[in-house]
Amino acid sequence: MLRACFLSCHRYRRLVALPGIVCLTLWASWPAFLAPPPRFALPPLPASHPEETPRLESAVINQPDPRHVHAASIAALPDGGLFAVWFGGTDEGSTDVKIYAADYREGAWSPQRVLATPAQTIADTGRFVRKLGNPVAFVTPQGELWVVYVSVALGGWAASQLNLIVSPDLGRSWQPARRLITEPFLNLSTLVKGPPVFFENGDIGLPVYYQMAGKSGELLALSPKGEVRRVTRMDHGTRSIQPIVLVETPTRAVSLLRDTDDLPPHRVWRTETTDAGQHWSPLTQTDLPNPNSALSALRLQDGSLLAVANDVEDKRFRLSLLLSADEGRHWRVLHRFEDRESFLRNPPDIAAFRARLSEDLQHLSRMPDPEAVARNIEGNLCGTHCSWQYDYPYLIRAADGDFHLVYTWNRGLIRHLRFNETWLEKVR
Amino acid sequence: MMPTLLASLGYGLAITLLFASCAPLALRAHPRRMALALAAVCALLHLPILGISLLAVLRGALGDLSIVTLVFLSILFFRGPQSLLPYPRCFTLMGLAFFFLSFGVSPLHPYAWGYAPVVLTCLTGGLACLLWLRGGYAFSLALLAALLAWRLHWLDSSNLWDYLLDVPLVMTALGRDVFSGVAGRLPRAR
Repeated sequence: MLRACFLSCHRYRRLVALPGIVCLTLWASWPAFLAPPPRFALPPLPASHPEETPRLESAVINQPDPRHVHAASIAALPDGGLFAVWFGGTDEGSTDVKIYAADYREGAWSPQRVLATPAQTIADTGRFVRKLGNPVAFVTPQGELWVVYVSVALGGWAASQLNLIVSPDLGRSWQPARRLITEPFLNLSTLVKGPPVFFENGDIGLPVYYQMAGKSGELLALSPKGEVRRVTRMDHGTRSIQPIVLVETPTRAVSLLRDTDDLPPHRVWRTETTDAGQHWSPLTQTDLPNPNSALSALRLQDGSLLAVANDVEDKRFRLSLLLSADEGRHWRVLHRFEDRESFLRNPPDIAAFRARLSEDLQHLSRMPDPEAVARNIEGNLCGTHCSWQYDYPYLIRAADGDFHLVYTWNRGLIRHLRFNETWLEKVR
Repeated sequence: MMPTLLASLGYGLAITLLFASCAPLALRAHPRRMALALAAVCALLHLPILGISLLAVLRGALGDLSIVTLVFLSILFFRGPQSLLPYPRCFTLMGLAFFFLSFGVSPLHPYAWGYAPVVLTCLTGGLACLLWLRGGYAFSLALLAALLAWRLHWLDSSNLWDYLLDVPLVMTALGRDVFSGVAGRLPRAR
């Protein structure tokens, strides 16, 4: 009897297993059936203080060591403080680059501290890392402070990967770094630059970009636990990276992207979504010039867009505050934070550069050891001739209504500008 | 913990099988020696050399191996290459097309389908059914193991593709196809 049963099962074992395979498949796909379509969460309205006097304050966040700093980002903390991160080292892409951080509390920036190193990232993730790159800091809707930063094991920036570190107590302690798996080919080529957007279900939409054979912006959705939930590409080809996503309604958003196209005219690219980032319209050019450099932007309460960008087609000698009233299609300049156009036709020799730099450093703000800073900047920017460079802006608005801008000042300083709504109204 | 364990096992199996193919008489014919070699390789992978283990270098450069690769390596280790037959050739082409499209040169981005993969899980299950009915038990089991591991989140990735495919698997399959194609065209020795 048993033998007959066994032989029968053996004969039909191919069919007997099928219900099991179907059940396993249904069980695996079940959560995806239940997932509702995502919708953007609208950013909270900041406090408004129209009676204030116009205010534009300047500060320097980093110390003279390391000599080369870049790619700063800033997060407004729920307790009213600020948190800034950037990378620094001997040079961009060198193996001694570390991720640095500083806190702003009670009116002053704390001394910088090291937040992540290649060795620590190796120890945490169990994966080899040779160098570090762009970090982005932000506070999640759950109140955790997250820093996503780039690392590279082999090759250049095209071989970048993303890592996540989480602080449950706003920067006092940090959990071990985790590797985000975002690409199929050896997990290569995802970088981060822009601030996140949030979804109603608690997911975090991180604008990232891909730059290997193709170059394009992507919106990476992370769960509150840091798992990658989905990704959508904004374009294909090689013309745009570093998206900034500006949410308008729960389903509509505009994205502005850095131009990487070889062909002129060099303009900021623009795309939009009407289904909360699941699909993006074909890219169109705006009228904002872009010298293949990062920009930053945010949406004001009246719906207009405020951007900080290098509004030139070549070099990064100018950094401007710009406004668009038509969803980023056209822009007008409100204010120049930095402008060295007069030096463009006559690049300064070292003596002239030194004199101007010394003058700038005196007016910039208080900083430790300005002579060392001047030496660093001269080393970073001077060859036969010297050039000025103000780039990688990162703009946010805090809950108290103040705007905070951080950017790289001549590759040697991370400058923080704080301005209020009244100052903005004055320059509008 | 689980991703590290699986990575250690996967790379351990791959390296041991490479050794076994170089010294088949010394290892392949002796299951106990094979098991000892696997244990030794897995331990060596964790040994820090100049401050970094070989496992970290492999995971940094190649990432984690997919579950399908792990199942194939296990079958190769315990049962030999004949157990992987019949081998669907379209698998190599699909893998190559998938990686090519992931480079961002076309509007198609199939990797994105692996995050909320109702269609992909159903296709994987359907393919597992088909392979099972046609006697391709190894491939069918590998696909089902990938579905199970993805649902239980055994790797660092939350994308089903990373449980189904990886670069070493597709490159090995490509190498095997090219080698067998070239070998098939050579005149047989008399």
